[in-house]
Amino acid sequence: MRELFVSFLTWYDNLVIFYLFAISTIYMMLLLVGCAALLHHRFFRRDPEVSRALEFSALMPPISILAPAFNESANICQSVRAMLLLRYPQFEVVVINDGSKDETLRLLIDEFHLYKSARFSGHQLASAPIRAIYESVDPIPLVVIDKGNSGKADSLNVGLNVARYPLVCTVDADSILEEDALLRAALPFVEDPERVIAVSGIVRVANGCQVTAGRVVRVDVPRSWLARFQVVEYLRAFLGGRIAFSSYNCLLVISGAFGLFSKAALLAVGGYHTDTVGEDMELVVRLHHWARREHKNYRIVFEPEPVCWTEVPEALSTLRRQRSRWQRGTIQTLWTHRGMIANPRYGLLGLAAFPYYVLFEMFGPVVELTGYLVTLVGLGFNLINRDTALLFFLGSLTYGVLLSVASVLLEELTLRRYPKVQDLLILLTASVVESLGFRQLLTIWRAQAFWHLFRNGQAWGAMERKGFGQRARHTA
Amino acid sequence: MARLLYSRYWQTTQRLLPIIVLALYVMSILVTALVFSWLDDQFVRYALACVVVQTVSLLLLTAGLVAGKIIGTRWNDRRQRRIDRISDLMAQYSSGAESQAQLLEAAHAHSSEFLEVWEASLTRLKGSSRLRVEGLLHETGLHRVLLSRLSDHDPGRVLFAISLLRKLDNPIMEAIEKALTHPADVVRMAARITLAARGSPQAQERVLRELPRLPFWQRVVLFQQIPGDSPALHEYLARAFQTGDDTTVLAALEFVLSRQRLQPIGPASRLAGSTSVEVRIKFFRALPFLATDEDPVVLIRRGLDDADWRVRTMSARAGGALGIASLGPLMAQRFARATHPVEAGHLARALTTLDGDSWRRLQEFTVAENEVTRAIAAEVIEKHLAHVHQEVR
Repeated sequence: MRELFVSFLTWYDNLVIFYLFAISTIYMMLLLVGCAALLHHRFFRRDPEVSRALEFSALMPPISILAPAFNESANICQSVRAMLLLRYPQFEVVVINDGSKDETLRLLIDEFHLYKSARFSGHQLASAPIRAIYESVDPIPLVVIDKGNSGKADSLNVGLNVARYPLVCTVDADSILEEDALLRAALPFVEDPERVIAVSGIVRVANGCQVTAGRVVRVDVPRSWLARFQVVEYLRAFLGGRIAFSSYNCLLVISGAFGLFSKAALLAVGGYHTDTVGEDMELVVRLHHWARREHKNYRIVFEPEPVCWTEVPEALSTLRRQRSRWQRGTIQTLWTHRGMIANPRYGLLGLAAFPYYVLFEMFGPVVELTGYLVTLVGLGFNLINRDTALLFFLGSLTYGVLLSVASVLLEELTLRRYPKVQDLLILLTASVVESLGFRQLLTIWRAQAFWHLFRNGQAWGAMERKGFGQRARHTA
Repeated sequence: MARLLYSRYWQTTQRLLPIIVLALYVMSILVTALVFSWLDDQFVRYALACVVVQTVSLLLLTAGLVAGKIIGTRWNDRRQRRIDRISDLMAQYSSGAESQAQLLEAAHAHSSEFLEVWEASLTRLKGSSRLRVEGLLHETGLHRVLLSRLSDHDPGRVLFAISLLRKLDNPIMEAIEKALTHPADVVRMAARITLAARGSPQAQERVLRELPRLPFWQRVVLFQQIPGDSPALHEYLARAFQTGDDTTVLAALEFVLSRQRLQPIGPASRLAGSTSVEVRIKFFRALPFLATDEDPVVLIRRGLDDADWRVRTMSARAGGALGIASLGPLMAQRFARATHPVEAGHLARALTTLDGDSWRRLQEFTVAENEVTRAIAAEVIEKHLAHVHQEVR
């Protein structure tokens, strides 16, 4: 019996080691595809006259920016002001106040001279009732919708009902879009108007950066190590995976913080689902599902240049809630669309992207965590040999370090947003150090998400915001 | 490498690259595993080889990039100092001071920095100062360098040369025209932009002839470049509207929409009744800017009867923009039974601009039975009153 148990432990340990090498090789491939795309992006010279001409053309498709806000009094005025100053020929900013309990609505009313307007709201999508719609007496394209608290997904559906333009850009009200972000994100829609239905921009960490008048004026690495680890994580997620998946039209996630969509496509799929905590991923997967079912020739694109700056949590408790929510969202989405997994009808999406997400993103934390437990138990009771255990820890460490360091290097090789040598060295150190505890912590939190999903699937959890360049405050 | 980057083979290369690297990676693991042949357990041997290959390649890459960053940062600092120095000299020169000799010397020693400053100065300066700075390109002899770059195979270098040469008051168009046959699309586009904005009527005509075949975004860009008083443009538009080719007509309508200036087009009923719904939509959208031989009332009535709601919407918008009061009763009637909120919105807005009793009719809709009609009427009336109030203020 003991021998059987020992051979099971050794077999499982070897399986996890193989799994870790497989995932690091796949990630390396994704990073390489991303690298090739980014190098093209960096060295392909573009005529500056083109973007100048597009910026002033009446033929550019107008955009409705949808910004749901829940207790965002720390940043809301600054964020909205920055949105209104974006460089784009025609757009409107639609802020959806999701039943905030703080001063969000009052601040907006005072700052932008809002009045209760009779603006018509359609009912294409089922959503919570609107209390009031406000517009500014000043000639600025700002609409503020006030409604009871019903969650982010429902708020976005309300925004979609009110939005007037053919493209909708979803942003977090506490994020900062770069001045030319809309112009750059809209380019794929102009270059390939028949096929593009959604575009994802890149989300970068604003902690540590200097923000003046709603603009990031100096890019810097954050001061806290927790935020630095997240810089590395964001680089890994956006520059590696998403660019590579986008190259094969298999992009499954467009961050809720910044995405540009065809409104017609969103209405065709019924808008956002309100019964999931990962509404951003679920929507994109549903768009794929719908487009492939309808045999549409479509593209969902990732663009590395339009940048959205966001504040990441610097407290462990907030980070834990956020990561648990993301993981629950991933599990829910993959479960909802399980019919697409390994289904040849969905091409590469079904045969490669979906299995990758299920094996590595959904079950990855569970496999890794059980690997740690089995190895520790095996070592403790002298059931597995030290070589195997050592190899497991070595494999696990190399896998983590490889992915993180490679992402930082990719950033340095291509986009180079961090100007100083010191920044590069700090990020490289962070990418090594994060594998010595932080990543394992995330693995535990993400594995716990399975448990939380059964207990309390829909809870979003509170978010603590400091506000750009301000004192810390709670916006629960 | 640069040619590959701009060629149509890049996509294939991009897809093959990871496969090549994967093959190299596997080979490196196999070779490294040979070094660990003393390990009995095959699994451990290959796993260890995997760790070593990954670690070594990362270390090498990291060392290379950190070194590159250090060198690059220092080089950039030095370059920035040179740019600052040349900018100071350029500022003195443009304001009349005698710094020409030093500028020429700097241009010979650091041509790339000089050209960067020169380009920025031309964007900023006006009048005689600009002329003075512009002349520097000839005096330094760098114009010859740029002209020779126009026949370069590297698209990036050609693009750079075109973007600088187009800044001159009298750019050498014959040389730029040659770039229209360059294999890289990005260069051909840059040449088209320059010729559309500054070229001879013949060159402009050549660009305009190509317009319908170009992708939408390139048309959008070129429409912004062509001067409104270009004879080639007027001739092109006059011919384009009379062709039966939908693509040509659409391009011409897009041009009118992008410029939003009055454009004579002759008879237009064929466009109003085109079989292409896209042509009909764009025609009615552009109608306020089209001087046609036909009665616009007849055209708009036809548009309001169209089967497609988008065409009806644009007809309503055109009716409002042209302020044709006689259309008021018909628009009010259509507003009452509009099927799409966007169409209803445009009809209501049109009613606010028409004379006669259109305004009163619109007000009556605020007590209509249909909820959508009522809500849209209320919104449009509020907006109109707010607008009037602002004008009064």
